[in-house]
Amino acid sequence: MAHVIRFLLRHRRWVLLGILVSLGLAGYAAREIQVRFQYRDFYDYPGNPDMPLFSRYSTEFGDPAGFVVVLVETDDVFRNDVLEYVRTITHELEREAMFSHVHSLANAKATFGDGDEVTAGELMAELPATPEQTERIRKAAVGSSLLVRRVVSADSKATVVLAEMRTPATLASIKEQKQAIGIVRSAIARHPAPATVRVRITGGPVAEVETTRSLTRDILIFTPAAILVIALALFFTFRSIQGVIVPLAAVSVSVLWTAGIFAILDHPVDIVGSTMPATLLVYGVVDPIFHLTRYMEKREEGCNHEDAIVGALSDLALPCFITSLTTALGFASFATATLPTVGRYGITAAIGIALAWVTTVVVLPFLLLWLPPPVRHVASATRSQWVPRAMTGLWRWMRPRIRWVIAGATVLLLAGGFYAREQHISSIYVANLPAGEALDSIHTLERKLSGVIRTVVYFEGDPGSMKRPEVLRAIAAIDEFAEKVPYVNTSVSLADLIAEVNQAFNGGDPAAHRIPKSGSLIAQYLAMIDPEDRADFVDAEYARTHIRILTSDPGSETFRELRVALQKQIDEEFKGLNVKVSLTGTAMVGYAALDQIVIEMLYGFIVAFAIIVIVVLVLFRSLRLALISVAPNVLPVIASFACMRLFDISLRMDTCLFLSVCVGGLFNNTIQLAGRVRLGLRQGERDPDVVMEETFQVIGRPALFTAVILSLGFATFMLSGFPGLRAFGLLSMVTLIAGFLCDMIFTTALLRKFYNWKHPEDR
Amino acid sequence: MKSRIAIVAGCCLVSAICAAGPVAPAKSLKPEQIILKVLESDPWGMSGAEVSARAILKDKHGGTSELAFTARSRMHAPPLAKSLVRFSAPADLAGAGFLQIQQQGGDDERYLFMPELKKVRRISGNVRSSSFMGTDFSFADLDRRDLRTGTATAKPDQIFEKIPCYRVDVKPKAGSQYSRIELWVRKDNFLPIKMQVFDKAGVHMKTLLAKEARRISGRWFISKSTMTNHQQKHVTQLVLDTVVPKTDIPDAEFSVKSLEKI
Repeated sequence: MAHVIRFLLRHRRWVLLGILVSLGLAGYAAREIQVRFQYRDFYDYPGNPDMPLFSRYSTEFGDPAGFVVVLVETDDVFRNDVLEYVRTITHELEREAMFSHVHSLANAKATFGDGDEVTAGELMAELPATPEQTERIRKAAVGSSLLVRRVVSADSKATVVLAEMRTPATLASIKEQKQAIGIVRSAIARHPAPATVRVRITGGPVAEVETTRSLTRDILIFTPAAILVIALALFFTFRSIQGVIVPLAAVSVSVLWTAGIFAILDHPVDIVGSTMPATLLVYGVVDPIFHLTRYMEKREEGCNHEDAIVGALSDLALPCFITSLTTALGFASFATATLPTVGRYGITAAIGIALAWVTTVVVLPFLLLWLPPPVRHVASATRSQWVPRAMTGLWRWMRPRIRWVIAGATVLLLAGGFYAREQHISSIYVANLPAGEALDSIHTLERKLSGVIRTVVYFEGDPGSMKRPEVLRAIAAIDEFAEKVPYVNTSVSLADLIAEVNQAFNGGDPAAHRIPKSGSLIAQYLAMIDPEDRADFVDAEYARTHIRILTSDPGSETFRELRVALQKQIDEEFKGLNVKVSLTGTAMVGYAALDQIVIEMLYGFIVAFAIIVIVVLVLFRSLRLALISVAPNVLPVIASFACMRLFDISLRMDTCLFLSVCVGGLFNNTIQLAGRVRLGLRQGERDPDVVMEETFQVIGRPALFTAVILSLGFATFMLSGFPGLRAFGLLSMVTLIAGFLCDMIFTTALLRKFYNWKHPEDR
Repeated sequence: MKSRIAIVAGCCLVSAICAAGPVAPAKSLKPEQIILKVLESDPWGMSGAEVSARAILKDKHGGTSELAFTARSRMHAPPLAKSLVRFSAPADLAGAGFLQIQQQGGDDERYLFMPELKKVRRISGNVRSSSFMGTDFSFADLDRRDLRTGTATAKPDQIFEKIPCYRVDVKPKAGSQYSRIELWVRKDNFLPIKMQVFDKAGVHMKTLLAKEARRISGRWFISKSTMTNHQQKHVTQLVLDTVVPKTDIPDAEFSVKSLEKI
């Protein structure tokens, strides 16, 4: 390694040129990186078995909740000034080419009957002129299963203008969604609402745009926060400006290189990717700290400037490579994830960690050459002995109590494992959105109207199947079943449409709100419905239809139960009807994909853990050491799982990130401790207690600094607007602090008790 | 395939022109006068004729279905008319009937008879923007109120499919589903051979193309036409199989009672 370093330093100008060119290229590529939070990114990927059906359904019937929603709230939305306002906004938006359809009370169609008269078409062609007309419109709207909770709340206190984008919201880019929201916002600005009316813009597109904005804001907080934490830790450690700048500059190079690679992968930064800059900064700075410390020690030993640089790198390049390798392996455990966003994150983060090691070897020497820490600071910075003293004290306390320490840790392991065994996978969308106006308005939508989470029961049969009375009755039964589920806000189907028309043609008799027995009558009803309206419910051949179920968001665990319950009901109702019934929609497809990712992440963690144990086995050629390394690194994970249960944090994609982020970091100290014990024996020391005390003194300080920097670095995620990322920050911090404590107490106790203490020459 | 259809359509139009004889020299007409002449020409026999027709519906997936019906009509207060449509196909719809009586000021009167219910129901409410029995023609396309009451603007004359045409744009009154109607009107017989309508956002919504015209008893009828809904990717071909111009169908035939007779 010394030859390589000297070679690089000899050709410093060329190497510098290479670094600058690569930074230029990486920066150029990185300018294309976009931040984006779209729910679709989590389920729309090649190979998702649920996607063909979902795409087929979306192509046929569109997105049942992909609207920009103008939410209008007041004491009574059927007041004339409110209706006038709704009509104005509707007409304004209808004129916008961005929207294909605009739905509201102003243009809602309804069919209702009274005696021999059937009123069909637009509910409110003209504003009501008398209180009687107002009440007639209210009764028709609130009484229609197709309109209530869809465009008006049951208590008449909220209504919506639904602007359907010409590019369906699920397919639209964030830019298009922003544009659509901007159009709605300016329409609202041009037409002030009447007094006492509260107007808000909400819906799926707003949630995605606002969340993207929050994600950008998060990144702009995490990265400087992580830099600040690192800078403070560096200043505390090295007490000089150079001691802060040199490691930070080195790690920044690797972060920029990684950003360039991320850009080449051509994927936007989403909630998973948003953790990358801070993660790379935090992990990447560890190696430069070790090297800088060693460099200063060399200077203190009297080495000249260049020899100190070369000596420090020669000593530490290999151990740092191994710890970087284990960290990278932790991230690489994501690489095989089905979901591309997670896979790409794993690969990029692993590359980033590897690049951090490269920058330590290639960039750090140059920085040290040009910005050496002042000599006067070297001594004072490295003289601080309180950590080694504290570590020695810890060891001396443990030495007569090794068995008790092991027993205590084992009890903790078992008790923690027992307490933490009850974990539940429950992905969630709405509850994971950042707090604010967008989330509030979505909650109002869920409470009073429909919500943004869509479940679809999709029916496919032969042409004409969906006109058959027995099929429609079965659909009505499923629809009715869904409506009884507590968190279902609206459930709308072709059966509702037929029942409503039947009631209208039977003088408005509520008893006639059902599927008629005659197939011909059903066909006649269907023939008179505008195909554009009918197309929302059934295809032109009457071969495909659906039930649209809009719900609040209780999380994927509840949706799994809903799937089972619906499937059972479907099996009963559709027996022998020769109709294929499938469950789809974002609640089914998206949550299934997200839950699958969690399972893959858990398996990935186990695989990464096993691989790192094997690396320990190969590295040290000791099964005993490999086995010793297991329990102390399982305990911190159990501590985090216990923490999850304590704070009722479910296993989700974002909360599970901590597993793979921490797995590499956990083993670093274990490897350093084992390596130091072996080195002590190789250096001729035969007394295990002396070897252990030396190990505590030497490893204690860097291990503590690393744990502090890593845990504080990840704690910055607790500043996030996203509850999932806050949980990730907390769990990472808990894991890393517990990991440090476990290594210093449990690993050392196990090493003292079970390590093969025979001197190499005695074996 | 598309080009073949276009050629056939072109041939039909050319044959119609030939049948029309020499084109009379066009006088300078105001756009309102052109629209009035279009309304008077009654090219689909909705104001004084017995028509036997078919509507062939083609959806975006290429699936087709057919409606067959007879329609009788009479002028009752020119240019307002009464019409009674009786369906014979598909089988589910056989016997269903629809009576419409256009009104000058208020909403038109509409009645629907469904044989399964054996009852006539008066249909009220604003259904103008709704489709007529699943076709791409809306009630508004059939009642022609947008043309009657809209503001017409002349555009430079054009030759369409080698036929000299007036070009007129109509801006319907508020409340229409359309923001603009563009018309290509033959100069010789005032048949609207092309009509484009635009939705409220100004996006092209539908196109009506006359494919074949026939002269019967001195009157010109568009015997074959297509209405294409570009947004829904849906096409309706309207074929008038027989047209018998009649101005003497008794008024009593346009009543609820006659609607109930199958």
